[in-house]
Amino acid sequence: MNRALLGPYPRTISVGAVIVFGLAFALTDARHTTWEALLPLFEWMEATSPGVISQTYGAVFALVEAAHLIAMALLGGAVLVADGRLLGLILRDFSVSRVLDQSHRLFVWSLTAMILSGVFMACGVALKVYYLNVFWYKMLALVTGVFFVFFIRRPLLRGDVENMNPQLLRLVGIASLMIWFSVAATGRWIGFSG
Amino acid sequence: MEEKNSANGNKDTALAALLAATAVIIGFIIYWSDEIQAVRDMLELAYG
Repeated sequence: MNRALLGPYPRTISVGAVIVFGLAFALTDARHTTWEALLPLFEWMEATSPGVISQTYGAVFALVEAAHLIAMALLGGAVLVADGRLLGLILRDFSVSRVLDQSHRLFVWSLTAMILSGVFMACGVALKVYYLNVFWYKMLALVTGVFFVFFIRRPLLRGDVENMNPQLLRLVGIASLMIWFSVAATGRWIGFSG
Repeated sequence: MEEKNSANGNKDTALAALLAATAVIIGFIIYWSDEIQAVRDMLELAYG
């Protein structure tokens, strides 16, 4: 189906389309219109049970934030191990596919914990983060990171990794590190804003 | 035929990875250099 519609390069064309769509969204008024349309969602988030609990009980918010930071540390570890191996910097005695498979399991669990705790925390400060530019950059980086891992890196590394172009593997490793660095940095920035 | 499809698939995945990684790296450089410049401008405003 995909091949019939998009020729022999469906994945490349899809990635190109996502980039063009992203640029069009960022450079037109669509971004502002979407942002305004999302305000009722953020107002509703503050009124939900997680929103009320985290505004009322500071200790609960602190505990969830601690879980969020631990999940982020684990995710960072999984990313550093996987990308460090792709760059040929660490664990050179182990095959790339073995390191990537094992770190991916940790990545998925920590990502799930990070998203669940992150949504809980965002409910408590929904209107604050709604007006923070850096929150939206973090969401963009997070979505990009998830897309990059599941639609770019995993399919690429499912192939014959040992015979793949090492420059491409390094480029993918560097891009992945840049994305997750941005997620972590913008996340901490939210903590110091407002 | 199947071998050719598989080779095309691998090439497609590699090209997609190249495109996505390049876009991410360019986006990262633009975003963070913009943020660093904003901080430098603010420091200049504050301290001259």
